[in-house]
Amino acid sequence: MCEEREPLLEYLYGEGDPEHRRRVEAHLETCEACRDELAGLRSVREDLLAWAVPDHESVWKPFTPARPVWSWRDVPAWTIAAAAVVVLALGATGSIVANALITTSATSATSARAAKSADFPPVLMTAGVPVAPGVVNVLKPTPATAVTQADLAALEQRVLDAMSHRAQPTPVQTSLTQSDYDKLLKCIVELNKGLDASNKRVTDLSAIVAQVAQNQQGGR
Amino acid sequence: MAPTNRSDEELVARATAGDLESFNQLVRRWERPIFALAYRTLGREEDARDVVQDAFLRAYRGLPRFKGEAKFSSWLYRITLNLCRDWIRRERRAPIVPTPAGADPNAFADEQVSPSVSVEELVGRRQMSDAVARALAELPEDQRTAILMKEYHGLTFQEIADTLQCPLSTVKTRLYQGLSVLRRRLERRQAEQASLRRATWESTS
Repeated sequence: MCEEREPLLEYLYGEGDPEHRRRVEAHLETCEACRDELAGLRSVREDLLAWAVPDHESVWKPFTPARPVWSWRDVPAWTIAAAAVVVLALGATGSIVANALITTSATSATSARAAKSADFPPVLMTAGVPVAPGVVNVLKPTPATAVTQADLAALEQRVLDAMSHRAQPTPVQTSLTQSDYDKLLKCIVELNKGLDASNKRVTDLSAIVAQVAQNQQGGR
Repeated sequence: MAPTNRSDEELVARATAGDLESFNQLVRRWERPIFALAYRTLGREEDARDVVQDAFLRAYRGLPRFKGEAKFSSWLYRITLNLCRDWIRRERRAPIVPTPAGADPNAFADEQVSPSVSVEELVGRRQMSDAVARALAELPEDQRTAILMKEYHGLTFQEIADTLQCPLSTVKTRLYQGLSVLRRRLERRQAEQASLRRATWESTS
């Protein structure tokens, strides 16, 4: 043991099992050199305790949780998929309604113009063709060759006017459902039918008035 | 605030998962020992503070790579010692001895000590502290590190071997050699001090 210092070192620091300690203690009883060595090492350990570390304040600035940054990655995939389906459905519904409105306005464009012509002096509808004063030329209305922005605007105005006349006291709704869109579409179609019939009667009446005026001129 | 009785392993796991408060708690638990190791290795408080800060930052960044094969404290000690080694190489000089020899007794006036401790005793303690610091600073780095970790941090031989990543027998050899050198130097110093005191007493009497 005197040649190997490891057992003495383990004994000094209290490491090693009880059997190991007993063997070292037995050796120390008979070996003066090892007793001196052990005393010297213990003395050094006491001296080492003299070296104190100065007091100091913490050098660490604690971490604080950062404000969460919103990210698309935080949104579950199924939520994004559901939102996409809703957007597509709304888009499709809007497309159907728009197509229906355009079709309706195209079929009734002529009658719409005729109806409008009843509200204005006939000279405005002849588009520059000289007309004798007092002669109503409403028998040749300007044909509707295509749906124009003006047609759509006129249709919108008519729908709004009709709805304001037919308006019933209904609860205010903030959004339209598919069912609401369907009802509105039916309403517009019915309205157009009524307007067409009304226009036809106005046209017939204008023709009669024109005929009467012509007869009167012929009589003079 | 997180409970303070969580083990290092538990706090490491939580900190790795993003719980910053758990890492703060690890810092609070280990800052003093880490500072002590850095201070005794480098010998200057300002440098030790920088090393401590850097050590914890590196530990935080390295958490995902810490697999728990060694104790968290061993890993932290290793980071600190590596930083100290880098610092010493960068400065190209040996560790600084904290206090110059011949300490001024007036410097102890503000120390918080028991009233029964005399100024002479305080001076003696400070001188011994300086002597130990100087003797340790003159040791080879591997012996000094082994002594620091065993004496001031209470690590087992095996934990020191894990921290320094060397064989167990190497740790014991370094420790024994270092203690033997320290013993001789401190005994010589004590003999010189005793001789000086005797000469002073003889000249005044």
